[in-house]
Amino acid sequence: MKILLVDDELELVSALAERLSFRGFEADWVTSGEEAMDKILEKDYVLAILDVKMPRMSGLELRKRLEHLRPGLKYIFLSGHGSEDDYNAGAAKSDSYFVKPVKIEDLVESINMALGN
Amino acid sequence: MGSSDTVQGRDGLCFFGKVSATISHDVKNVLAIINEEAGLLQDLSLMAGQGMELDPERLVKLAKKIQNQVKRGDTIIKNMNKFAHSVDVPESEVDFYEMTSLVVALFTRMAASKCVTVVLKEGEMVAGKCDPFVAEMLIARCLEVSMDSAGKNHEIIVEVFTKNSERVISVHGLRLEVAENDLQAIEALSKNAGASLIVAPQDSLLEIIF
Repeated sequence: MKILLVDDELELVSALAERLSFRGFEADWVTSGEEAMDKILEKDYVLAILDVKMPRMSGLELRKRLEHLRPGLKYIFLSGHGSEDDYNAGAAKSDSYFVKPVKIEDLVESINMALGN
Repeated sequence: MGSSDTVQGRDGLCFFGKVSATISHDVKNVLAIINEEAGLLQDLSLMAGQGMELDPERLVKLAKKIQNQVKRGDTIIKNMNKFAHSVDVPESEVDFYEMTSLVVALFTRMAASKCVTVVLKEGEMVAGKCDPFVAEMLIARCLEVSMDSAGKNHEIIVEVFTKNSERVISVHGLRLEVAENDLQAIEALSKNAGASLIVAPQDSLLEIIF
């Protein structure tokens, strides 16, 4: 079960990936949408955790592009703020939407639900 | 009546809201990183309790990362405090260099989202009188317009200096024509701020003169 984490905050995404690995998930991370699009072609990811607001390419725009590259990929969105527009756009097609900071237990539960574990 | 009173109330509120939203977003990111680094410390401690070898160097690095984020958060909050106090008085003696530096710092996230790099050239104190809030609003709007004109993957360079006893905030790096409604908006703002504007995309230049 491979997971890809995408967030422009390097320290956040690297720490989160390591914590998920302690909980049995194979988690890779990148810090931009462009890197995510390259990475998604390398491995058979089943779920992507995306930051909503990123420079250059937002998480919502990235999801649109990944949907073409990997149909069937599941999504969880992380956001730095609880804008209603972001929530509606993010939650409409994703499995979950979290506002940072995230409780790891809640995230793990959401990942398991999205993956049908 | 101070010049603040002549600024359309909703425009001022919108500007205050936009800056506050950016700050809250930045603080959320800082808290999220601290949350994950502290969580990682907790995970490692629990695993050490179950017999896993724990590298002390790793703990030192994690503690340092948390301290750096606290420092980052402190800078954000200090800027927020300075910005919040800019509405205190309708006119005061200010340092235009410091004020521009604050606005550039507050708009770093917006610059990143527009894929534009904003460079403030090193400079000295440029003293003068103005309405701090209206002046910040004008500088911010001019920066936004300049970022849009510069376009993705380009750089704008900001300088603050005194020329013929006038205080000048100069933005270099414009590439495209400024939209007519943006031009009208910054001209109206400059009047409220008691400043004048030079907008010359053909020379890659925008200048605010106090």
